[in-house]
Amino acid sequence: MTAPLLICEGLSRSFGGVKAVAGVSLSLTAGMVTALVGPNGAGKTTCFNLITGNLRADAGKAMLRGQSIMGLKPHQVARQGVARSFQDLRLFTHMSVRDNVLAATETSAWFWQPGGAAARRAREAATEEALARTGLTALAEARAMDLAYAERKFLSMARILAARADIWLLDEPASGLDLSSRRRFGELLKEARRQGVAICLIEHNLDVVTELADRIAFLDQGKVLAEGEPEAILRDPKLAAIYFGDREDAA
Amino acid sequence: MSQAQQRPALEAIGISAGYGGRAVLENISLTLGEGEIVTLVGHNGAGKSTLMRVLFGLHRPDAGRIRVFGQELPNHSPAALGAAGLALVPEGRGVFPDLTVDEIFGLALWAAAVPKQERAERIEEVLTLLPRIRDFRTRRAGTLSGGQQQMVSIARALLTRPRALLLDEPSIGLAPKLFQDLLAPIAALRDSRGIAILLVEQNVREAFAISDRVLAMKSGAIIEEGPPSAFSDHARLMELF
Ligand SMILES: Nc1ncnc2c1ncn2[C@@H]1O[C@H](COP(=O)(O)OP(=O)(O)OP(=O)(O)O)[C@@H](O)[C@H]1O
Ligand SMILES: [Mg+2]
Repeated sequence: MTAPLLICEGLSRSFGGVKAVAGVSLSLTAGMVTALVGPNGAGKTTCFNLITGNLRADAGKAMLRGQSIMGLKPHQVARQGVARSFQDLRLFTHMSVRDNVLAATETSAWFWQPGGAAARRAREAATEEALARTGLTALAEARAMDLAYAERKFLSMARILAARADIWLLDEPASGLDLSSRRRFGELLKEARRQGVAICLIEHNLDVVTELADRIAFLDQGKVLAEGEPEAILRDPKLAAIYFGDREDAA
Repeated sequence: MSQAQQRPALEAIGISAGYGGRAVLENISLTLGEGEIVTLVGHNGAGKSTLMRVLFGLHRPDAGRIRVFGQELPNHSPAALGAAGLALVPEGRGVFPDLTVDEIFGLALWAAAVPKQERAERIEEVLTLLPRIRDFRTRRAGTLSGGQQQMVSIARALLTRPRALLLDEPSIGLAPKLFQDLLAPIAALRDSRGIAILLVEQNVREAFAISDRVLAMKSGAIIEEGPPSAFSDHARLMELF
């Protein structure tokens, strides 16, 4: 088994009295999709924020390829090859679709490539490729704010693709997508997995999780209650009760 | 139940709309009966959200007329529509990040001219439907989790006791249990208060369970209409998505 790319141990963060994340240990391995599942407010997004340096941890550590990334700024973590998407997307709404993607290449691992015209051309090529793979080429000149919801979600994915990161942290990337868009999204994810990207996926739709995840970490009230193969996790009646209530056809 | 003899909550006649030359809606007509629950299904990009935005006065149509409870408003603005009893839960929430939940509720009640002495009762009523909000009423909305913000967005719309409610993908960001726990009581508002609901929702199973009628949209037009049972077949749905 390959060593995990990213290892988190005992990550914790409180806000006032609320323990949003309380001792989370989690590891992400190349070529594997780990789904982070759990109720609203469980601490899923906060985990991402602690890894990416958007928030400071009160305790715990995060090691990327054996090196600590604790205390780094978000752009520094991005440069180490960690790309993330946001639940509320955070696109540059007044900028074109193409410039949104190009900007992602500038704040990523690409930064360390040799500078000058060659690097610029490489970034532009990566941008065009990401647009093509997400089906956005025809909309490249449109302002991000003029896109439909699903298109904006794919733009957010294009930014991830163009960043050429080897760790993807995706916060509800498939919510609101219809079946065919979801299928397209699934293909992007599977392709990245084949290429050895370590993916962490926050997702409420269990059809998506079942289809794409190799592992599930179930989070509730800031703690990982269970971790393992999707079938085992989804069959656990205790977790089902927390997540689904008592619906019969849940698991 | 039959809707035909009821006064429509919402009537749209011949709506066409688009963005900068790109046509998105073409000659759409629909009726939402008083006390009726209708689900709108269709592909991403079929025009569902644009239609919701047009109905709520957030996007100006190129053509067409809209009547709310039998009346064409001189000014089809969100404020005028709110006063007429319409509320929208927009796709992707849109709560003010710098205000606390209580402040957001206060603003909504003030905008709807709800008398001061009634406000606490209104808030209680909504908190019964969304009890989890009690845990974070004094927090600024920007610090809430995605699902918590979505709860606030739905609560804000319900506070005004709308007579017709437009819900654009309310399940986005909500854990399955929470969404289920929410839909049944919202549907019950139809029985207790005669509220009409137009629902856009990808979770068709849950949506159909509370719907009287389904409208299927494709490429900016309504291509089919019928009871949920007519759409429940998996193959039919695959076609429409
Ligand atoms: N900046 C903050 N200040 C105060 N509380 C916060 C802040 N950020 C998050 N929280 C709280 O921490 C808890 C965990 O939030 P988080 O956003 O991680 O949840 P989540 O699992 O992503 O939920 P959702 O599924 O709703 O997106 C929630 O109770 C949230 O309100
Ligand atoms: Mg979240």
